[in-house]
Amino acid sequence: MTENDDPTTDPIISVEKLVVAYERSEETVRAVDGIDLQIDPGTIVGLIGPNGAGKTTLLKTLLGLVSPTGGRVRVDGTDVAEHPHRAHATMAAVLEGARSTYWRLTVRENLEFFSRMNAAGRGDERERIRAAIDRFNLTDLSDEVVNDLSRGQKQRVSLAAALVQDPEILFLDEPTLGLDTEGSLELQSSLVDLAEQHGTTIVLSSHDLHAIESICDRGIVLDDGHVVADDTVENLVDVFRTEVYELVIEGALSPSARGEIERAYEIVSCTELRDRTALEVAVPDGNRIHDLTGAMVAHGSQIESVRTLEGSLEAVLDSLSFERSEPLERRPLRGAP
Amino acid sequence: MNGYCSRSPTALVSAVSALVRRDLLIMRRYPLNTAGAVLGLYALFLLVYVGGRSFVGPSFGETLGALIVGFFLFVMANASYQSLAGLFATEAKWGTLEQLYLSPIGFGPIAVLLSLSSLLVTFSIGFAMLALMLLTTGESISLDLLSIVPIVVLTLLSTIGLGLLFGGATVRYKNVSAVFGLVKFALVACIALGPASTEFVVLKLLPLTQGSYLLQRVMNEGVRLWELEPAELSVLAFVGIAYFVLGYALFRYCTDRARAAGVMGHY
Repeated sequence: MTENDDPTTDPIISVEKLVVAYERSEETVRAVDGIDLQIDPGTIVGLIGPNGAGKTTLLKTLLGLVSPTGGRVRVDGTDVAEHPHRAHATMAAVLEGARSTYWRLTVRENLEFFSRMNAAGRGDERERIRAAIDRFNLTDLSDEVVNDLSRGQKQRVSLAAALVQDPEILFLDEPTLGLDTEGSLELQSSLVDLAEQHGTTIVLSSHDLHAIESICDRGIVLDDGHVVADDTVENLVDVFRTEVYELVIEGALSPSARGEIERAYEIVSCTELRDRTALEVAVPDGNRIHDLTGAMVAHGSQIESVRTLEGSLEAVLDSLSFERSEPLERRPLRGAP
Repeated sequence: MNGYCSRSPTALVSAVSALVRRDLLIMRRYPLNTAGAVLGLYALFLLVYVGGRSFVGPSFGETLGALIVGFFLFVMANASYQSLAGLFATEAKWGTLEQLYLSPIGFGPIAVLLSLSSLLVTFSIGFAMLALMLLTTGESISLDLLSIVPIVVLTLLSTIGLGLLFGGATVRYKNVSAVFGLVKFALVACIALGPASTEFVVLKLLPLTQGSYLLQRVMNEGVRLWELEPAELSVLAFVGIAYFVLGYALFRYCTDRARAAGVMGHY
């Protein structure tokens, strides 16, 4: 769990010992299995993990669309399971991507509908609609029937319909799915702008790791209903960056050197080139890289170069390998003695 | 959202007007679809009317008023029931059911507002059909709206209750449309049983039956609302409200079960 750095800021979302279990084909599936987390206002949080990890179930439980089997979700101090409509006054969501609006209505009619349904009396409606149309570049499309728009345009309409409700918290399930690169970048820019300028808290689940890496303050990695890593995206990537080194040595790696390395570290890969060998070695503590290089030299290896591998969320997810495990900061890293 | 009350009268009026406007916009945007629905019902009426005249002969005219009133009630009962029961499946298919659930008004009150908006749309279809039927047959009946509207509203509470029940079942159990069609036949039977309910009082507990009986008296015999026996009106109100409350309670139960099973919004 990421600690709340600012003691004066209460978390806007608080999840305690959350369990969501379903009966499926005469067996109980624990889609969410004992999750604790807190989310601070104004942050962008990405839920990451493979299919079936529990991302969408967690998202829907935060929204009250799924009832918890155990534990509790509070949004802005309100228990979502007990008083969903009170909690809904602070939130909006786009869960079905392009399908979250009425395709038989025009863009403007949709925005008017969702504004009047969910946000009547919340300031100037026309101004909110104008701002949402501007933010998602829908001015030229505002009188078009949604059915006639492209998938990316429909996705933008869904987001505008959520935004027009003036939410404090915005939940998004796979927001960049189906968008082209330009559309995805535009969306990412809008979300960052929303969090920075309006203090909107954004919780999104996505397989688009580039998007998460680009815009999220924090990444929560889920697997099999558990949180396996939870930290700032920067720290998540740093963990990997300082963990894996690429070493290029002259000639082949001698069996004694290999044995020495494998005793204390993990060889991620070993590629023999024409007259040299490239090794990727996981080193749990950056300071121990010197022990590694010293041991290799002692076993006759001539090291040509050493570099840390570029970190990315993709690499982090690969390294976690999605086995049931302890949270990242507590679990033994690969290759550790 | 300081000071924002999601269930204030302003918020509720705003929501119901948004729902009615949405329905009217869709009806206007797809006129063939709308006209097709009305013409389909009109064709069914013509079939009964022309067939009845051919088979029964001149004496058919004596029952024509009852047929028109019965058909008028069937059109509205069917529209109110089917629009609600089918609505949740449609919203789930459109991907908008979860959006309705997320309304700060609450899903239960939203279902009531949907009932209200469907009632308004139902009235427009019902009275359009009534005008077509009267023009076609040349029949004249009493159109005392002050008497007709309250009776129709109380009568339709029972079909709205059934609509909510099947809407809730759709949200929880998904494809239950096969049962929808069967309920239509049951509604016809309930309307037809209206006159018989004077002999078999227990029939008054069926949906529509008491309303059918009273509506026949108002529209065919020219009886005014205040001339009807208070006991008969009380039964009408009790049955309508009971079905509505039961339907609403089961709707809430089904949606709670859907949330527990994690299938809200699936279809």
